[in-house]
Amino acid sequence: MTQTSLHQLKTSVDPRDEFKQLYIEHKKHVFAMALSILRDFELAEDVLQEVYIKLYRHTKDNQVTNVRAWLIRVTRNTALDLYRKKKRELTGFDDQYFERLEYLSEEPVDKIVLSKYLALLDSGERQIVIMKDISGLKHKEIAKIMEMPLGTVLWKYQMALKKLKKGLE
Amino acid sequence: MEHEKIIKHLDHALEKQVPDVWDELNKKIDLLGDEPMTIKEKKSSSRRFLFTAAACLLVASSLTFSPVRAAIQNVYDKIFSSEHIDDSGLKSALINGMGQEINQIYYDKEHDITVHFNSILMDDKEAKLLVTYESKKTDLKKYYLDLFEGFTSMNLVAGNEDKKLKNIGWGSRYYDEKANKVAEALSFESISTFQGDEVHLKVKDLTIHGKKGAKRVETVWPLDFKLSKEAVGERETVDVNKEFSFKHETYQVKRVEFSPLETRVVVTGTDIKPHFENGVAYDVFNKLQLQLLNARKFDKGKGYTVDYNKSGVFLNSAGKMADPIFSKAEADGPRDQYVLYFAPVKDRQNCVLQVGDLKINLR
Repeated sequence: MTQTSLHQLKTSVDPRDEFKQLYIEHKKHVFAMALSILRDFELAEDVLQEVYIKLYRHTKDNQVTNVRAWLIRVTRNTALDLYRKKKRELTGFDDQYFERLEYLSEEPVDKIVLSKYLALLDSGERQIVIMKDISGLKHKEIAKIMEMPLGTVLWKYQMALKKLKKGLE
Repeated sequence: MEHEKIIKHLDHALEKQVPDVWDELNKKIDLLGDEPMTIKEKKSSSRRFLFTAAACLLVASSLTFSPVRAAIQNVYDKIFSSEHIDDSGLKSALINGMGQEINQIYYDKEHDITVHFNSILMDDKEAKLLVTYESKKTDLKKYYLDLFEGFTSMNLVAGNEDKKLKNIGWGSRYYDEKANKVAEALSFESISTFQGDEVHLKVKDLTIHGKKGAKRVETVWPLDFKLSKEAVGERETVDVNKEFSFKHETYQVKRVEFSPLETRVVVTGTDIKPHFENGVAYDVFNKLQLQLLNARKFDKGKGYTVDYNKSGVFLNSAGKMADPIFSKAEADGPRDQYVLYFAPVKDRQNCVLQVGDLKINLR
């Protein structure tokens, strides 16, 4: 690359490209967190979009120092709001509504693990596993987001892993 | 299965499951206008450099993409108070800062229409929902949210029931051909009793008005928001009981109603009654209504406006004319009353109704 073209590249950076980069980097964490609460791929997709719109708006006037933690916190609140709202709207229906699941991985073990994860763990356990093992947050950070004592988070995490292991035997 | 393996499979399954919504997201962001200014994240130095460069570009140069997009957005924020919207009441309310910002975007995937619910405002009789919608693929020139005579309806979801809200007149619409974007001020019965509550609205079906008549486009655009007090204006009603004669008919101004969205002059008269033919009641234009419509003119880009050079029915408040609101001229009401709709007035104590050369003091 010549000096000129390098210069052109640097000065023609579009913040939209930067935002897209953030989207690519974190979309899995957002989607997984939403899915852990909603257990519904379509609703999780809606939350994915909504959360990124919120991030976009938020960063207009504010600085975000830890985008991943911010996204997870906002995703959790957005998904919980949606879950409560849908539950209200669907009085008389049961939780089956939230289970529009179509597994896309062609790998059979992937499908089994995901289906067991969704079926065997409760909402809190699912969220903790996602935050710890998919998003790489520390237990301390998870405790803060979940508004739970650290010990409870650790215990729930261990319980979740045990349940999953047993279910996959 | 070991912990690490379980997580690896879970991670892989989730990776496959994440939808790519960037295109839809990008469209929605376009509608929001300004670019974000600062995102500080722990990154490699090269990424940090890129961010700094981007931020510098935005701050130092106001001639790149962002101001252009912001300018376009500003035009659309102001479209509802512009000459393209033929509702002087709505424009007046917006200029006075009334209304609740909704600022929600909905993407109608099936028809590739991105909907922006802009804001809502109302008094106790009428609500105005301000909406823009655009598309890259669907030509929206003939697309209408026609609550008046089309297939479109505005529905309020209360519990398990959808209640169809009555239209008030026909609202206002403006189509920007260049942007393939429609701005509509939807006009329907008030929902002010829901102030402070969560409101669930559904705009159902679009109407295509073509040469071969109207066609329905099935869709549902949902809108959920909490109705705040900023959206709701008060109404003041003043009894008048003033009689006048016009073209051999006798009329009585019963009352005047003032709200931030309109001024209503409620009239009864000897020719304000249904016409019976073969036992069937028909509504017919009364002479006062014909006089009001005499000063109406139509402009393709601006809708129905008023021609003050013609004889009409006008409302003068402290020397200032309040424009008639023609879009509500055929709004439903009791058959023995006719309601003249004008823009809101500043001086409610000093209002004169002008019917041709006649002047009727309303206080």
